Amino acid sequence: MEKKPMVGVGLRPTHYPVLEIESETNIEKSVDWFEAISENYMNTEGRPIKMLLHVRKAYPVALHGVGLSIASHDGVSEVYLKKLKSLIDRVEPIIVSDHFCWSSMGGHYSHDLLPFPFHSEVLDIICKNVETVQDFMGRQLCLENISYYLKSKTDEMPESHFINEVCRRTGCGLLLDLNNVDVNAKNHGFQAFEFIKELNFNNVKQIHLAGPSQEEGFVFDTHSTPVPDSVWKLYQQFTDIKKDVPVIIEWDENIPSFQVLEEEVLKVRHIINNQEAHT
Amino acid sequence: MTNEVLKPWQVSFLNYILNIEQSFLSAANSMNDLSVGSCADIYKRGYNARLVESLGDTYSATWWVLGDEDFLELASGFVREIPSINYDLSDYGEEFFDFLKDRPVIAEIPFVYDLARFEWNFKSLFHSQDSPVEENIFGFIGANPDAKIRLLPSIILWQSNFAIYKIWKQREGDITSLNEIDLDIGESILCRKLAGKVHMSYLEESELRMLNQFLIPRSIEEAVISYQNLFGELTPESIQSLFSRIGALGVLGVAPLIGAAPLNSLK
Repeated sequence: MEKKPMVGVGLRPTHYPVLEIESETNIEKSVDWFEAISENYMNTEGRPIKMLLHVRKAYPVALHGVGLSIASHDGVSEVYLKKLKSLIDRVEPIIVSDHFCWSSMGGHYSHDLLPFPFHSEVLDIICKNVETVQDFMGRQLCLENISYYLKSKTDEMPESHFINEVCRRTGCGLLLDLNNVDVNAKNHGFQAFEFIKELNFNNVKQIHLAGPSQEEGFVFDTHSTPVPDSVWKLYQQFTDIKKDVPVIIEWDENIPSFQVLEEEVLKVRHIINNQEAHT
Repeated sequence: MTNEVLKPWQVSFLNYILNIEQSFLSAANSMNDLSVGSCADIYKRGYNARLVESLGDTYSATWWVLGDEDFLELASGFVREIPSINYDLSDYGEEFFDFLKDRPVIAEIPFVYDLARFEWNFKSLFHSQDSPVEENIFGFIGANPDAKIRLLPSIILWQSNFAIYKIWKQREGDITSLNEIDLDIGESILCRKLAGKVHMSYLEESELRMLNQFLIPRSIEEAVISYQNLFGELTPESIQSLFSRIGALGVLGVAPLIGAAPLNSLK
């Protein structure tokens, strides 16, 4: 029998009080693990880092960054890498991840996950940057597919091929965000699961599930709503093929009570249990 | 490695987001039925929203005092002028209180500059390491009278001609509570990071003045001389009384300090 995947949630300050109480009362754990946003803990000795270390005592934790800027033409910031490495040494995460994107250039920071051309020149640059990061950290980096609202006219290969190639050349893992695939499929007009099938499943080390919002003329990746049916369906389809990938429920805006997140976790477990019952 | 694709894409994309120029629009394809400009504007709006939100988090009391309309207008104006140059979003906005100083709205609310400055310093202190507790420093000094001492790290000496701390403490209440505060009463405050929290305690002016002498390492004698040069003669009794009170605070340590870099300089 395949091992059941860990199911967890993003660690957010809104839920610190609940988690403090939970650890004090030692109630049954409803989630298996947490994912923390790296940058929220890299530059502080305040309550956030204390809470993260507190949570880490009881749970596995992944560090998920938004500022590595792996696709920067400039390369990756040494200052940033040193801070990240120091955090990794303190937290001892089970996964370290960031995004297939760029966010800074020439000393300016966009604080956003910006897309890049799916082009052989960019492929070379990203692979070089990934190798630099992995060498520095002495461990595997995972990169998440992003949602994007425009594309470059110079694209010369499909995104799925680009991702497979980066993983193949560098040994980095893929954090597959099914919500982002769904958002892109709706915005750019392709079949979400057809895209997923083009990916090398052996590279998938983690899954993100989240909910977007509907804006005028497009779907916006806000992580502000429950996971929609279309994303649950993708998860079901994915787990029909590969079951043991750890999952995180992400919720970043209009963050609900911890109980609501626990209900989303239960839905993941329900899908997994149903599949087990049918096999 | 060539520079034909990624660098021009990133330069023009960032220039578009920062409102510098629009050539990026000819390099991109849009989604659905939207124009390229509409798609690119999603990123432009996102940039502004994130930085304004970060300013709002750091300067929450300033926002409370100014109200939504003025704060958001000022914050957006600041974002247009000052790009982010740090990966840590919460580090954005160090220049915001200086930016406020030159705005017309500030003429109506003179304490807002000090309030914003206080908030930036509070944020820095919140994220700093705990201040160590130094007990019986003067016992040590008694045995080593030439030893240099200084203010411990993660301590800030705050002074204002307005009741900034009182205003700041009200920031989650109703704005009408400002009417209950005598805004023009000045304050001297010791701000200290201890056990994961920032603690504030009021100081007498003479205590603040003497503690300020220890922003750089000094012997007691050097500090007293410096104090007297600045503020006039002290009697032996008042020196003893002053150091007795300062000693009880436990905020002075023997220099050089080992560990965290001192955070004593007010922005």
